[in-house]
Amino acid sequence: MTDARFVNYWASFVSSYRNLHNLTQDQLAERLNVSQQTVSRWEAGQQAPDPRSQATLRQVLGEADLSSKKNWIERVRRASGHEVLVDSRLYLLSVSAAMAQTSDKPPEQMIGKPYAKFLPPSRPLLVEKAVEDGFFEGAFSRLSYGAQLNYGHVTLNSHVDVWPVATPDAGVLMHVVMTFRKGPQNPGQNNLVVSDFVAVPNDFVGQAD
Amino acid sequence: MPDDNKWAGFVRAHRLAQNMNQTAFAQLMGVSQQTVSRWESGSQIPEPAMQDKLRAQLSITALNSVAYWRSRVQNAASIDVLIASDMTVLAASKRAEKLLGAGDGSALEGAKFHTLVPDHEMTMDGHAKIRSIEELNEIGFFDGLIRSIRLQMEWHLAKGSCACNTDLWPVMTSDQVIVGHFVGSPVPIPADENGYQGIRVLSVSVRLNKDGTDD
Repeated sequence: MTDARFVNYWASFVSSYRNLHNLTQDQLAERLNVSQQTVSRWEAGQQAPDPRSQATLRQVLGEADLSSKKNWIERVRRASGHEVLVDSRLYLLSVSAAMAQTSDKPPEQMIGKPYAKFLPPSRPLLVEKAVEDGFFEGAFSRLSYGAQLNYGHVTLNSHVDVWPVATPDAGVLMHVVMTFRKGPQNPGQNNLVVSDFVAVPNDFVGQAD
Repeated sequence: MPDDNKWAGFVRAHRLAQNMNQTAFAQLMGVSQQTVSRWESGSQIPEPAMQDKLRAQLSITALNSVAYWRSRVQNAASIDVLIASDMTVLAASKRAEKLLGAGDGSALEGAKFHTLVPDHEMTMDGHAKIRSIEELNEIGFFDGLIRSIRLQMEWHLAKGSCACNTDLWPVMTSDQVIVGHFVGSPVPIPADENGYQGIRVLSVSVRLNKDGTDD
């Protein structure tokens, strides 16, 4: 992944940090072993730091990269709601405590495994279809649907929002947020019934104003 | 997606929205500055492979824009509010409107977020202290120095009561600003035994960005 499209991220990150710590461009440049002109170009958004400088910046600035994959993994892990983070293979990267509890599995037994493994069997595969149609290439701004999860002994009724999250280091990730609600119980059924599936195209391209 | 003859304005608008000069944008796309210049003047239409690359690039960048985050919060099924560094509410989900709104149908958008949440002291790192969420800016929330803030709240409203853990996350956008994403997940609880109505903050915990991930 190129990091160049996050040139503005780095611009504001570098300048706000530098100002907060009362460093001159010279002083920050010296710490990073680059020229003052380079720092100036980063802050003006004319150039993104090269990968080596980014690594050093992250260290110097304390792993403060708020939109990184690592930060999203942590954000989801610590979220108070029912959330999971999934990669482009639909494997789990992170699971919130509430979600792990609902799934009746410790998070460490879920992470690194296919998300589908922890859901009842589902047909048709609407999320998979959206992935084929470019979810991880930024084609959608949102998927949402009602999900009735029939686990045999218990039924969970939920509304699911699926958000694309763009990270500079790992491309687009899938952030799934579930809100549960009361609904009918279907004892004995073991399936996932999807209703009101909506895939909203990403029409933010073209709204440049 | 734009028609062929719209590429000129499309490329230019996006380059400017990203605050990039033609050289930086050319580097990003792997073409010369002259090519970008010709795209923008309309004297050259990007070739099909490049159009795909431009679309992909711009779609992904758009997912980090403030406009996208506003729409995400407005459409969320959970209790979501998006706030700017001056504490203005940029967007709110329907459930947030219901729970935090004045109840007179007026929108939360444009309100000052700190007027919706009662004051509660926050202590960070043993020394720095703020008294109200209004002072988020002073602790560097909008400068990327905070990783998250957890507010334990109780909402006692006429229609019912709930305990609500809410998280306030800083979100770095491609528009060069950090915005605050407030997300709540309520659990119903019994009404307050003294008949109290309103919002109570029970505790606030702040994690600094330098904390690392293991605690």
